[in-house]
Amino acid sequence: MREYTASLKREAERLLSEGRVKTVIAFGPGIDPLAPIPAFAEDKDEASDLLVNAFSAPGLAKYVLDEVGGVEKPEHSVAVLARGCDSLGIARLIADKRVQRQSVVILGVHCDGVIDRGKLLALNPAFSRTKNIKSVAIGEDEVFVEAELADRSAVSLRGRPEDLLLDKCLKCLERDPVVFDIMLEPEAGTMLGRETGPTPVGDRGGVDQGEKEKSLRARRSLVAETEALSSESRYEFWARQFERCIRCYACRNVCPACSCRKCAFDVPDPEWVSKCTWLSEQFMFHFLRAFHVAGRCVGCGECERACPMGLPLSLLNDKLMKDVEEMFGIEDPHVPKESEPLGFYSPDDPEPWAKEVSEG
Amino acid sequence: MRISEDRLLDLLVDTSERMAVFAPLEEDGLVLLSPFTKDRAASWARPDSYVNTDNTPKDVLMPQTEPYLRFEGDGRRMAVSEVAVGPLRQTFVFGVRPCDVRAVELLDRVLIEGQFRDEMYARRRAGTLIAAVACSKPGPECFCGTMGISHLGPAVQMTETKEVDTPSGRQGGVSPENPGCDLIFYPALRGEAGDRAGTGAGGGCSDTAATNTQFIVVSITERGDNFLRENGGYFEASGPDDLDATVRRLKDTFSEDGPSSVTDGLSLDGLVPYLAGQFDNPYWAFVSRRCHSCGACTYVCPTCYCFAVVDAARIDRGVRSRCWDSCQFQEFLLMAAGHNPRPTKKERVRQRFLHKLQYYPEKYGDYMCVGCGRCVKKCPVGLHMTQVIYDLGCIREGVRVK
Amino acid sequence: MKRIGVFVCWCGFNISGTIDVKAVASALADHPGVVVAKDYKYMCSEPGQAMIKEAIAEHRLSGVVVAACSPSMHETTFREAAQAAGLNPYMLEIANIREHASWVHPDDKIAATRKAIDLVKSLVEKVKRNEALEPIHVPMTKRALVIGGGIAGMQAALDLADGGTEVVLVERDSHIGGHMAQLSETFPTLDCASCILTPRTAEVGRHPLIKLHAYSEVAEVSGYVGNFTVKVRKKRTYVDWDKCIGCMDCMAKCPKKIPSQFERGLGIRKAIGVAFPQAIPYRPVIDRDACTYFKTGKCRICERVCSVGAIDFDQEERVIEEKVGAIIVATGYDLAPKAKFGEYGYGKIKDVVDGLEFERLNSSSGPTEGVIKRPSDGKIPREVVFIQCVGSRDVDKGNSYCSKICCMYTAKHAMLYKHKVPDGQAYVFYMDIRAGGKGYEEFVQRAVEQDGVLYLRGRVSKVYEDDGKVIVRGQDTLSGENIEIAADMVVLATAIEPQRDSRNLAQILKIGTDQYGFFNEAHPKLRPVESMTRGVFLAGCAQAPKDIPETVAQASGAASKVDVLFSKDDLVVEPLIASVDEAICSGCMWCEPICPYHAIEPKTIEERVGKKSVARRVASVNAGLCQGCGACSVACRDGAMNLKGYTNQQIMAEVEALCL
Ligand SMILES: Cc1cc2nc3c(=O)[nH]c(=O)nc-3n(C[C@H](O)[C@H](O)[C@H](O)COP(=O)(O)OP(=O)(O)OC[C@H]3O[C@@H](n4cnc5c(N)ncnc54)[C@H](O)[C@@H]3O)c2cc1C
Ligand code: SF4
Ligand code: SF4
Ligand code: SF4
Ligand code: SF4
Ligand code: SF4
Ligand code: SF4
Repeated sequence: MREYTASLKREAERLLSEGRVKTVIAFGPGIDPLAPIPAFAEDKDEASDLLVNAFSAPGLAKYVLDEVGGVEKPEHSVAVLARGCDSLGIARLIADKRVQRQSVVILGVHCDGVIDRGKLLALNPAFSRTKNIKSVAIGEDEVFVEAELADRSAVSLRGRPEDLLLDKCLKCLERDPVVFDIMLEPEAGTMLGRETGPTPVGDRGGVDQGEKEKSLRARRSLVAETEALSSESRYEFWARQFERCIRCYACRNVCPACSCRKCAFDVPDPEWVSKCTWLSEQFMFHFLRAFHVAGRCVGCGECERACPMGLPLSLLNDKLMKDVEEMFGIEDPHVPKESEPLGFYSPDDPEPWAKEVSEG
Repeated sequence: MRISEDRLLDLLVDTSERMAVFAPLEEDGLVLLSPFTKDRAASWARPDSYVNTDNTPKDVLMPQTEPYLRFEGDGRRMAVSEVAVGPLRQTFVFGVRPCDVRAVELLDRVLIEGQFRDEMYARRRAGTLIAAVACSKPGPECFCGTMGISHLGPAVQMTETKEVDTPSGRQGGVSPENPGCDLIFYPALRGEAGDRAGTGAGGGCSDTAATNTQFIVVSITERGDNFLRENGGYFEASGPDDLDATVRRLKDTFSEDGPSSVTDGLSLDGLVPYLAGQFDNPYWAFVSRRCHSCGACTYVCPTCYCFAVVDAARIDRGVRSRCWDSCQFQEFLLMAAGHNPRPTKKERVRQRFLHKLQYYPEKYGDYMCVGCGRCVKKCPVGLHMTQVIYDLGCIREGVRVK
Repeated sequence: MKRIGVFVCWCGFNISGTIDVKAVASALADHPGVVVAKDYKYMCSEPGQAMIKEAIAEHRLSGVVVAACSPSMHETTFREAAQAAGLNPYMLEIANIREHASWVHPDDKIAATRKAIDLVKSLVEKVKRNEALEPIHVPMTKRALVIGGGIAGMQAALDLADGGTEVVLVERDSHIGGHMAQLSETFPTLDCASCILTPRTAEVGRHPLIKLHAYSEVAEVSGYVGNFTVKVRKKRTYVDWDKCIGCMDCMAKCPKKIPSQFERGLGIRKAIGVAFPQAIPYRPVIDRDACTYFKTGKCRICERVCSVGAIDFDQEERVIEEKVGAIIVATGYDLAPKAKFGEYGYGKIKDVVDGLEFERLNSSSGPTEGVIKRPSDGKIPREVVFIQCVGSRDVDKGNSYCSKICCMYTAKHAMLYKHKVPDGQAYVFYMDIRAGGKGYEEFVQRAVEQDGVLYLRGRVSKVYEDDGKVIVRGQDTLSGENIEIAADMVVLATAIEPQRDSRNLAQILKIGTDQYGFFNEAHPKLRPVESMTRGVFLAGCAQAPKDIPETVAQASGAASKVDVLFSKDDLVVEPLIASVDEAICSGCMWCEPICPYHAIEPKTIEERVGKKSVARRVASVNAGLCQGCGACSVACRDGAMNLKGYTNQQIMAEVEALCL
């Protein structure tokens, strides 16, 4: 990822000083250089702490709902940093009428992927003592990270994207925001806090159709793999996943498509899903979650990233996304649209199951 | 006593014939303390292959869902009966890390020794034998030392160089009455344990690390003694200096790489009295802003014990269960009439940290965090224990929190 | 505390022959909340109902389940009984143990009984969660809109107006009468069409309660039964009809002649004028595409000759709004275009005409003044071939249905031809003759027997022109012979099709069409004149092909349905409609486009949050429009939308009871 922090700070300071927004949502340093944290700047000082880099893992879309969502006329506006996935989430909230478009200023930024801290540390635990990230380059086939450690020594690593990037970034559908107000400019020639250094292994930038196709293929092939399982093995697979779920609802709470005022899982009567984690309830929970985002999931992968128990939630989402794509002939089913295939009445809806039943 | 890793696996298989055994098993890239049977031995996670389990001993002692009452009625009369509580079989949990051992002891203080004895927990706890495995290297998120807990388990004092201000002053978590586990397994190197003569318990023919890994085993309870005695065939006597040598090496090498950035520079000095005045600190609103109010941090925490009573009822019968609940959930304190004493993230996040860092220590004498690092790793937005301890340090020093 | 009564009906042997009704009653007697469970031979009988009423009083029942036949049979009966006994009628539910148990499992009495018990238990669990509901009253505008001024629309309008209801009649064409105005004589009586039609059109034209918008179309309909708002687009006639006195000097003086649509291209008309002499309203229209002035900027003769200054070349289109409470759709039909049929020359052979063209050729007011002359050279045809089922009952041409009237009008045509050209020969190619109707079969027989029309059973494979003749090749399937006729003229009975734009109108009216575009009735047997949308009714060929008597009958039926609707003071709607829990509703409006009846709209509510008042969007359901289909309730993720009488809680309770 190129260096965008400078222009982020500049825009944030400008928007705040002009009074256009009350808050700018981006990232702040946090205790761990490998894990920037979501940050909310409200004045010049705070704006000067903002950053975005190749380790900024959390999605930011959901905060827009927290800050200005759910009301007709929010008292003020917010600005939010948005990579492709963030922008999809924001578009989702807008399409679901939970956020008003005019109450959010979207600071778009191109993204080449985010490094998975866990994967990096597994490859070289020394990075856990990172004081300062010196350089990052993310290329088509290679990722390079160099850091300065607490004892001033340097450590670097070169690896394949699949071994270093977040899973969700390996399946990224939009590297550039689908909706934005201001597109942040990268600092000329700089790579993440470094003036000179190793030539970036691949400096992409711009929309890359081929990249998207690759991601789609990756998603489809994972879905196809599960579809190919016998129903018994498929049941066994999902039962194992669902059994492991601790129902912390991180997946739901980070999801930009889960924006209800009161989630069905929190409604006491009727009790759609009990707090009891019996397998039947686990299935019910996961079916409900998946179906409630069906046709609306933007494929941002936040649910899977947030899940502490490693459930392959994207697999479920992608399966439904694929069905929507195929049954309704929807192009780019992850992009929120004016009218969603599952969101209107049509007497000619496809009903493949009805066909299956009638054909025996 | 000493045992090779391979014999240990045999011991687990053998034990699982007689007792319910929980051991770390690999599952889809995670390591989980799971029911262990012979069929699942292939997924056994060897102690040096992971830092800590993704779940905690809480799963065994206080399962997420624990039915305890059945009721049946016809609208006029109601019959209530108890569901059998506690393990039906004796339980053996292998592979609990020292931080989690301390966590068990912290749970005991509330649920057994506290004002209200929790029968269900107590019965499970009484029937469960816990075998700890000492740590030789901290993971990137581990900060047991910061919390005053020894990576070697309750039998060994903390490294002398590190003085930690724990409210109880019980360095290393050693509570004479309740150490939190029964057996401690110390990973030993070749030469430290028994194979001086070149005859490793693994048979001495293979040179791979896996087969040559040894453990020095120490029992610290009567229950542990009995277990060792009953399974004597699996153990060999260790040399008189073996334990000392192993412990010394583990102590010396544990922190040799220096602290990770998530755990560096944390200080707990005077924290409890300080926090007593910080209920209204604007920091709570500041820090909670990024919280998503999920339950990940509390559900993965070995010391969190909040629960809800849940009835699953249908027409004329039902089951009442105790299920985990999280103080981070919006509905946690929601009352029937609609009032919510902790309506916003600020109150809920504050509750989580003050409970662990102030209320519990005030009442039970120690921090309710054992530095296991799970919340550090699992919170999707980096709102975790070391960040908050660090931030509080900044506030106390008058540095602006970023 | 819920106090439920259960009443198990034997339905004679219908239920008790298979189900052990005593066992059902006693099983339910032990069910929590049930305070009385009884069985009886015929629950719907007077004594049966009395039993329920008495039990309601005696046991202070809070809910009742009748285990009997389908709720569509006796739900109303039992609910009225409950109401008579002082129980809210919606606190009574029917468990259908006849259609759902005894009738479908006649061979397994034990299982059927067990199933019946489960069904009743599930309804008991539902009724425990029922709420007392009151019917909803909605005010209405007692004024009707009729779309289409053919015989169907006119009949409906007159029936309503004669009964005292104000009618707005919108006709797309410049005159009313529809296709019937183009007919010469009508089967089965062979009376002259205009003789029976013109008195009607005149009556419509002068009826004080009928407001006629001719040359107008319905552009938009909003609202719901009892309260529609209709936008009518008045197209540009370029003549101020209020000033015009109908002298038709303009028409006489207009120099521009064009083929007349009314005469189906067989006659001519002027660029300004009326379609035919008896047209109502008798007011001229300028055909903008034909008018010399509009083409060249010069002429304006009509303007000069008009003594009242009614010509207005700058006239603008107007949209006016009408408020009505009910709508009758009577937009009629179109004929399948000849160009569709390659085997009959794609409409390029002049002497191959369609039925309506033949009607015009035979009409005394038509282009030939009633002398049947063939279009190409004006000769009187000696041999005429009539071909039936052109485009009907023909899957390849897209219409698998029968157009229903072609058999009859072809017989009529052949007969009329023979009457006018007694020495000519008429052939009819047919698939089979469908002459169901009073006097219809006799009519066809008369054609064969008295008028010597030659009926040939079979399909025509090819029609082509050769030396001033139209050669018809086909096969007589009865004799198996190949036939070739050198005819002077061919008349095609082309299919009756919906108006080309019927789907568009369906969308405006939010009603359904079938695969061809005919408007769908609510029930093919029991509700043939209602559409699926409340307050919208159907009449005439717009619903399906039919002849005039049937059209008129359906139109009168539709009119009386409107009268029934308007006979009440206000609109009473079943309370089984969707309702929004505003505290939960997220205002996502996912439900809005899901609703097939467009009953959901956003609304803004003010609410206190802390010390501030904030505005928030929520969904709101229009009680007049909601049909209680439940689509929204299923689509609402957080469960804010609930269907009264079928709430999520009730349905979950039913399911749980069944699964237990
Ligand atoms: C060749 C032929 C011969 C026939 N002979 C006989 C016979 O002898 N006896 C008999 O009983 N039946 C006969 N019929 C059938 C008869 O024509 C119909 O039964 C009858 O005309 C149906 O009347 P209608 O009002 O439903 O439709 P139409 O007559 O089609 O009237 C529909 C009216 O609605 C108007 N309209 C259409 N769309 C709109 C719109 N969007 N907005 C406003 N207005 C609109 C049209 O302009 C038209 O005025 C014959 C049919 C044909 C084709
Ligand atoms: S985040 Fe993972 S563990 Fe938590 S509820 Fe979702 S799937 Fe379950
Ligand atoms: S379901 Fe997961 S991938 Fe889909 S929008 Fe929600 S968080 Fe993103
Ligand atoms: S608060 Fe975090 S680090 Fe402390 S014990 Fe709980 S999960 Fe572990
Ligand atoms: S602190 Fe993190 S893990 Fe805990 S509730 Fe908030 S977002 Fe979830
Ligand atoms: S009723 Fe449900 S679907 Fe409709 S706006 Fe409210 S929350 Fe959305
Ligand atoms: S119940 Fe059906 S008709 Fe009524 S509002 Fe809901 S979707 Fe519309």
